[in-house]
Amino acid sequence: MTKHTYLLTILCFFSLIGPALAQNTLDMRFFSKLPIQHDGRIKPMESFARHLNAKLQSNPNLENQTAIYFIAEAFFDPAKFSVKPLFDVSDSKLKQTLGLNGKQPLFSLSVIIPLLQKKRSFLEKILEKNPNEWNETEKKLYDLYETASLLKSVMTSFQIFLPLKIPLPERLISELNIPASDAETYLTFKKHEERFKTYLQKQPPEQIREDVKAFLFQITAIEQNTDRQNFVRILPPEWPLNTSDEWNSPWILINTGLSGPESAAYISQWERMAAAYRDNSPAEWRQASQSALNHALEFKNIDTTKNKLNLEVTYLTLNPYFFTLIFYALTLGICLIAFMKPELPLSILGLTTLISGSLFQMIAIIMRIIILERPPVSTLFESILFVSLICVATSLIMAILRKDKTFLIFIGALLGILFYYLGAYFAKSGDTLQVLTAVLDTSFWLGTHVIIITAGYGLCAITAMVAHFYLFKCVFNDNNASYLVPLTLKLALASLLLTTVGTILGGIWADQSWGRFWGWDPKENGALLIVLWLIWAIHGKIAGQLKDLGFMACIALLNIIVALAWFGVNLLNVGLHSYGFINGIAYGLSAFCIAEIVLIAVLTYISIRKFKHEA
Amino acid sequence: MKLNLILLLLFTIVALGITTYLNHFSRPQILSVPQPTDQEITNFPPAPTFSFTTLDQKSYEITEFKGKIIILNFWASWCAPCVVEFPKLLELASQEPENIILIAISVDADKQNIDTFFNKMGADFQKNIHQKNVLIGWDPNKAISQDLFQTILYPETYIIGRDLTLRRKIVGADTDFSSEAFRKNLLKELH
Repeated sequence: MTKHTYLLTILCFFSLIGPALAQNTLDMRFFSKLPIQHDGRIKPMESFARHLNAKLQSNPNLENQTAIYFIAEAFFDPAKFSVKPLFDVSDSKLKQTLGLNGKQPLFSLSVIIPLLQKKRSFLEKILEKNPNEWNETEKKLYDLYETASLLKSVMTSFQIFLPLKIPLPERLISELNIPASDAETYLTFKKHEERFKTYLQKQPPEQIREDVKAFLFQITAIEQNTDRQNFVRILPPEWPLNTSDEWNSPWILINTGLSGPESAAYISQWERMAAAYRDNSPAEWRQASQSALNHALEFKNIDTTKNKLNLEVTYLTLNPYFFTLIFYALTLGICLIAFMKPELPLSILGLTTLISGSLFQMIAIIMRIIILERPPVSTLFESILFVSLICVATSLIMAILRKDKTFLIFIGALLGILFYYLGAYFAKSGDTLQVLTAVLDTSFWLGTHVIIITAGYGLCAITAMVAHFYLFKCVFNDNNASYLVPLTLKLALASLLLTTVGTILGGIWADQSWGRFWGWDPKENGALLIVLWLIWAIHGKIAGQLKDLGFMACIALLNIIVALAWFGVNLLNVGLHSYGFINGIAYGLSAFCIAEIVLIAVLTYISIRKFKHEA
Repeated sequence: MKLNLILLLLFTIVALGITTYLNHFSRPQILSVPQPTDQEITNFPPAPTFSFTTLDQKSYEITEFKGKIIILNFWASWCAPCVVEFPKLLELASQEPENIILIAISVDADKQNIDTFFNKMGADFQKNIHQKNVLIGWDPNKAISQDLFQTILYPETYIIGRDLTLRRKIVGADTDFSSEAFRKNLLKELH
């Protein structure tokens, strides 16, 4: 056979198997866009699914299963979901606490829940303590409890319209004159509850048969499980006079009398989806999920969010930051080649790739602004991404205006990548587009004070990076490094302007929100520290107290000041800015500060010696 | 150098002065929290179209009552609050025979229970129940109450406007339907 025949055979094989494979998989396109209220906003199911999936991210079993399939199984096939080994309990102390044996690291919800119930009193004791006093095992146990409870409530959210595990005995169906189809789910059985209760009242307790008792037990368990489950809020308030914008889970809506014809119709769409899922019927599933989405998009209160659901799903599936990283890495590679082979005209290519990367980053930030309706600096993670863009944009502007393009493009790309990984560290459990509801929940001030101060951080970072390069150039026999001093001075002045204005605006905000302009809050002190450091270094340089090397070393040290002001104050867990408190960051920050001090000290020392030697 | 020192000192004094001023005169203000107000709502959802059968086996379509205020009540003889509320609804219907139609749909499984309940009631009740604008429906399989209106807790009352739109839902039996205030408000709201 020729090469072409082989190729044709392969193509025929895939064209035959392709549709078959597609038919066996449920199409999640419509389901992923269904609206749900979570974390104080309306988001698509895809986002909610990723949020939950991220809680179990340490589990390798989930790598091959996308979040949306994960949530669909939890909703519609809880029995199968509950026996899946999802929880990573590899920590030996945690295992011991829970009474688990063996080397097996993963356990299912059906194993974990009973064990946690046994440890109820122990958990209560932990909760009585201040979280700061918890030891590692207690923290892990609490995390496990929280995640297990969350998944349990997700699993039980739709229990009211899923098939009953214990069927109503056949003879009762005919004796009570209940239509057979109404004996299938809790909600349909509820229609005939009165007949069932009357039957039970008539029976002497000792004559009630075991199968009836089991059925009754099941009904009570469903009611207890779903009674307060209001985590999966898929239904908006239906009544026009209802001023609350709180959505509800199906059971809560029905059980509080907030339901009506519209929610009844929507819940029946969900019932249809659940049946199609359990029957593994792709065609029916597609139709049911599409009509559920069409129905949901007709909700009165969803008008403003409608387009954002599509946008958020696009944002999550496109992942623009991935392309940003690729382009920045490419830029870095081009710059390294350009450094090694200066004769090659690579600066334009580097500039193009850096612009492409920054465009993707800008698109991502704009998408976030539209989706979250907040300025892009609501969380520490977001502020890192914003600072990264400021750094790249500043380096791009400078690269376009100045001759030393390659060096500036390199700095931009390097900072872009460094901040990307820093952001990834802070969003360990994945970017779940969370909205902050603490003191920063004021769009106007986020849009002014926080943006200006974080832009200031970005400029400080790029200024310090240029200073680092100056020191490196001095050490590595480059006598032309002095041209970087005026550039650094200009950047330092710009940084000073932004950080000062940002700090003053922060004071005004504090005055409006808390009634005082300045309260010596750690974050305020941190911002002031940056301003004072810059003033000191710039004055030292202008007044001639600091020579070029001393000034550049001081500016290089600005990195530490910024890191302490930006991340360090959150570690103190005091004051009003504890929004970014993250355990374990202290080691990283300390290591960074020590490494920076050592690096700058060594570079400066070698440079001084070199200058003395040359003199 | 001397001039610099003076300037630095002046700057510090001015900065401290501004800070003290702002701290001293900008005390927290007590602002009232805006209360949600009843908004003018125009886009009421349409009532679902359905037909029901009365105790005397007559069938009606909800659309037949277009132009009147429909009070759709879901009740059961075994539900104590429903039993308390029922006479009040009848009284309201008797006060406005031209404007109001009361459709009281019972979800009792056994029709006999409804009859027993009616027979127990006093003379006023017996008179009011036979008014032309009172229709007692029976929905033993809850096809209307639960499948269509998703009512699980009883009583629940829907107020349907003359244009067959859903105007209000009243959960529980706390509303005094027979009161003058309720009747006037209803007529004013749904003129």
